Amino acid sequence: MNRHSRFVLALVLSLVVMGCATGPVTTSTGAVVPAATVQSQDNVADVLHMVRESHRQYVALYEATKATMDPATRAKQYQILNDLANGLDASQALLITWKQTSTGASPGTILKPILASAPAFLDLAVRAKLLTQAQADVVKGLLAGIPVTAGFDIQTNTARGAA
Amino acid sequence: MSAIPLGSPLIPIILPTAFTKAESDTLRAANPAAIFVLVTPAATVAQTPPVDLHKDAVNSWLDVIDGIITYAGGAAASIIVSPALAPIVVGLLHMGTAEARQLLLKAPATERWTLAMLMAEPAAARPLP
Repeated sequence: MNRHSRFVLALVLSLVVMGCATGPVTTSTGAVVPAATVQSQDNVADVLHMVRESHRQYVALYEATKATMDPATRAKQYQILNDLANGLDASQALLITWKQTSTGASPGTILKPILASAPAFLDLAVRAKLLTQAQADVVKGLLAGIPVTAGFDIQTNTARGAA
Repeated sequence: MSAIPLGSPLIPIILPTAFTKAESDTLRAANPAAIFVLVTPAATVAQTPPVDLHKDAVNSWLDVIDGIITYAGGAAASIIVSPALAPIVVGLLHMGTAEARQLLLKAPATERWTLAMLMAEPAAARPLP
């Protein structure tokens, strides 16, 4: 096999392991689940992961700077961060249950616990440059019931088409 | 418009980071039909490719590659990638993005977030008042 063929073979193998939204998938729980459901679960997991990571970074920023904040700003940021922490844990628990049962849920129901607190946090995170506006818009869109059909790349932490 | 059909196979050359600008220019001049893959400094990027590559991510790369080829006229263009992604991008260029997209469409469905991965996610950080 020449070098070019090895490149092509490696590429084909890498493409084979990538996701797709058609057909059934045998998941890690052993259940056979429609691919669209698995993709929705993956997208929600991507979003929760990204929000959790940026939230963790913002909490560190908050802890480092809260002594210099005016009391009202500090109280407001604490409330947003604390509410979102509760919501993120609740959403993750719902997602795990959805993964185990593969029925009876949707991205909307999984993300409902962060529905109230996430938008304000996303604005804070964008201002702090922990997220791009495009990333925040993807999450807000999902919270508003817009599927992530345009593609969201958690690996590069960017929405598809983002600058 | 691109001087070559969009999505067709190309000749990729990884431009060594040790090359000076003059050396790079010489290499480019000697290979007018090639597309150059510039690898970013190793210290700034992860050294291993992501293990859970997924369709949207690859489609994004294909969009970027097609965009560069279109705007650069199809030859002597440059794509800047991390060392981990360079072999994949080179493979995509060899194959042609059109064929790569077709392969992607036919790829079987997979699960990126397993139950174990979800359960291993840490609890959210808690701020102090």
